Amino acid sequence: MNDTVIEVEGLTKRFGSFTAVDGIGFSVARGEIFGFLGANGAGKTTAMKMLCGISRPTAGRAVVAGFDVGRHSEQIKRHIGYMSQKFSLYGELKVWENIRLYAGIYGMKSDEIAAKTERVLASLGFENERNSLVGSLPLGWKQKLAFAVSIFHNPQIVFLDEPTSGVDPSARRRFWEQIYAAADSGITVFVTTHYMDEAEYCDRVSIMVDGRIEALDTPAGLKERFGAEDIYGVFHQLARKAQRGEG
Amino acid sequence: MHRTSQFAAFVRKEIYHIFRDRRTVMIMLVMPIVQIILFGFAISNEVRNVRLVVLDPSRDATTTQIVESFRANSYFTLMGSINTPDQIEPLFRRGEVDLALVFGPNFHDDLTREHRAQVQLIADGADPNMASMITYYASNIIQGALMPSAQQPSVTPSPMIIVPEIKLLYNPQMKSAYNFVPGIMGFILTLICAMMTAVSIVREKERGTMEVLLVSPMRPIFMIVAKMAPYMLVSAANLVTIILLSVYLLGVPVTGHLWLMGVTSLLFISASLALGLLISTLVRTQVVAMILSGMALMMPVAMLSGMMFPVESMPLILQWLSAIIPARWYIASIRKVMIEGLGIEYVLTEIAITTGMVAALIGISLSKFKNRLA
Amino acid sequence: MLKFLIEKEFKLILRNPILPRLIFIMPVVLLVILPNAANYEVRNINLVVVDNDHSSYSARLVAKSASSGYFRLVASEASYEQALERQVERGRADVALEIPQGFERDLVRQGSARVLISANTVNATKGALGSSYLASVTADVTREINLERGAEAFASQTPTIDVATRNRYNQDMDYRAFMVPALMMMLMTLLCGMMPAVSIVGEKETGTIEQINVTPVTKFKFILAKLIPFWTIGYIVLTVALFLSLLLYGLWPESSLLTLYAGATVFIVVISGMGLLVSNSSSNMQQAMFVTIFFLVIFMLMSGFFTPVTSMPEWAQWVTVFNPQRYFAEIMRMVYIKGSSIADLWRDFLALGLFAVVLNGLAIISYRKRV
Repeated sequence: MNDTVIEVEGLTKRFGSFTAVDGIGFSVARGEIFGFLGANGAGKTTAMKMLCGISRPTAGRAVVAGFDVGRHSEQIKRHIGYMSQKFSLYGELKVWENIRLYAGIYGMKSDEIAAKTERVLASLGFENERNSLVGSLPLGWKQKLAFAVSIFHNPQIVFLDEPTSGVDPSARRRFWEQIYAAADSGITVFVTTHYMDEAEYCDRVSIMVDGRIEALDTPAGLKERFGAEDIYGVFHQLARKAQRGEG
Repeated sequence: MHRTSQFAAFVRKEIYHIFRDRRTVMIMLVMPIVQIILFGFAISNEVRNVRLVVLDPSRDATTTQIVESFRANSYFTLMGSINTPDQIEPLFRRGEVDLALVFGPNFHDDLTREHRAQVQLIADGADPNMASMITYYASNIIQGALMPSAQQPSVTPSPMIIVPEIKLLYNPQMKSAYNFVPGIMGFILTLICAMMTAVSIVREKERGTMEVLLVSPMRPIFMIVAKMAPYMLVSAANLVTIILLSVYLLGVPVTGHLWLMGVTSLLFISASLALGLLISTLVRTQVVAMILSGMALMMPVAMLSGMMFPVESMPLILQWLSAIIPARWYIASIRKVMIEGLGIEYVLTEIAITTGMVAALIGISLSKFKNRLA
Repeated sequence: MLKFLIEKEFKLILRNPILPRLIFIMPVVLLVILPNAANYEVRNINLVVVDNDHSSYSARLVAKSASSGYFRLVASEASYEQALERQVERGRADVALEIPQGFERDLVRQGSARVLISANTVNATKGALGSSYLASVTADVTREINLERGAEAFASQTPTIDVATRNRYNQDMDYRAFMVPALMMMLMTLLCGMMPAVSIVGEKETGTIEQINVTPVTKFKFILAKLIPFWTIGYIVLTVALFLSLLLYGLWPESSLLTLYAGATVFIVVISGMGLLVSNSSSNMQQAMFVTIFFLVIFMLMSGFFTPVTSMPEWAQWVTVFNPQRYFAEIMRMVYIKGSSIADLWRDFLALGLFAVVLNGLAIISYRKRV
């Protein structure tokens, strides 16, 4: 049993003369919570899109869940879950209908879906929202639901692209409890964020600056190496070197 | 001063925003050109390329002469001969033939002995107008084919003749331009000013960027005007294109005052923008804005404004219905000013009605707009 | 997998605040208004007469015109100017017949006289036909007068060809029978061609398409799931229109409904493929809408819907070869009016089939799951 679920070497993405991701390399172990940090425009989302198989790498190699991102992107998609910063469940569908749709897409059977839907809704405390239109739910609830949907089909890895942006701190804390529970059940979590306090919750953290990974270690290791009090201090030191502006 | 420069910056932002989308701008500018060309040169009702089959059991000198004169006529294309009447039906059903020419069995003998012979024209009557014109042309050709032989030495008493002098009023080409050039103006301006404005404002609402803009120090009315500015610019460009094309390509001159056309156009642009604004305050999503403006604006303009079909020949109730469409009044005034060269005193009704519409539309939409914000 | 996607599409359409209603409202509005607005009917050509002669021959000419069956005598005016101003210019009359003073005198003394026929060519068909009919009425009157004046000898020696004209199909010369079937084509184009723009670009704008792209849904299945609801909508619209036109105008297809629906099936695939293609290449609704309107206007004008394809100049006829609407308008009209079968219409079906394959192929290729 291979314990490395993501293996990246020299992964590069260029758009014309602009190099968004510049030869990054790392590996992620099964069940790990891997934090992917960087300022806006550092290349996090582009890198993540390549790992999910929706963006073709210009150079380099990445193997996700045992499949090469360049050649077998469709197989990768069967084994991952994805949740984007841009909330992307169907607002005009009810809670149970969204779950049913995505579970169905991943090939689950109707009765299997129905049974698991009840369990998941109970664990989220959403029993009463079963028939609510998703568009009418508050943002924090939507995000909890989106995460539950992204791991409903038991993927090997779940990619979270700034999942907590725009949510208040207490809702974020509850959201991280969901992430821990998923990791405990053996799902690898790959998460990008720009909340530095969230970085502390990760097993390991990488920090991207101008398309490159400038640091990669456990949160404690990073703080020690940069002599910083918290991850924000680490990030601040690295970000000062950045050439690219915000946005 | 500060206000003005801020406003100018906003207008620049909006213009930049629209012109970044090259394709949309291209289409906006090319659309009137394509429409003028199609209406001016492709669309017509004349009879051409009539496909003809002949059933000629007699095969004599006269029938040959008649068939030959069809062959020589540029309006008709001889598709071939058939031997039995049963063959006509399948040809019609496959749409391969428009007209069948059927001679009687002893055509020549009948004609020489009894001075009377029979020929039948069977037309595909699916399009009744074409069928009437085709059969009329064809019977003229048949009669004309025998003319030389009919010039027999005249017999007394000499017959009387009534000579019909036919005059087609209004040069047809010119007359259809008279309908479609102002029609295209109304269509394009409605499309760009009303529909595009509605959809673009609703898009900002849908994305939530509207709220961000509305909390800025800018007054909402300026924001709206800034949003509309680029569409006004494009509309002006389109008007110039249409006028140039109609003068130089179609040869339809501007006989009236350009300033008067400018005034009525500006009035209509205001009405359209106000309509767009009104729609945007009524709906929440782009899809609905699109469908509503399509149903309530584009379709009536296309069908009832006189762009496609002459308003005069419509049933009265449809003529009344078209009265509530601002484009109808605009098109009427452009027709009077641009084509007929009439002065302002002839378009006062149109101007008054459009002004009333503008006032009402702006009033309603501004009050709606404020209510939304409150 | 497909089942879940299709289920989703239907739910989204049904929950849209306007689409389900539009499917019924649009056919009603179009079918009620358009056949009446676009009435190029040539029966009842309106005639205004100016008789300056007031003689028995001029009265005879007027009476003959009115009773010929082609014309409806709407007015008599005292002068040509009045006739133009009060009748023709206002669209009340299509053709004016002016009989000059001294008509009968000239005819008797000099053997020939003039009449003036003026046709309003704003409605070109009516104008051209009206003037021709009127000319043939004057010829009839001439013959009658000659016969009475003892010119029988002349008349009987002149060889005459009796041209009997007959229209196969649409014997009532009902222009609406010609217009309505093509209008159904328009309806299906508007609804089925617009829908993909609404649904795909809508997903792009809300971001749900990004989520779908990271799932194992293949392009083919995604497109197919989008297509199937449009198919259904197309059938519903067609069926609604079918019954409405029976109700409003008493029209019903001559051939089997099977032929009609077979043609509709192919056409919907073509038209929604076209919509898919447009929405794939558009990033927002405004863009999609604009491109759609641009092409729709061209296709509509070049489809033979308003004016016959055969009346167009050569270059324009070539353009129509690439217009799927042209083929379906033809199928609809032939099926409704002539009762043509699929075997009769194989060329149109073939052309539509090719469009279906090419356009949808392009739609699948151009839908990019990854960049």
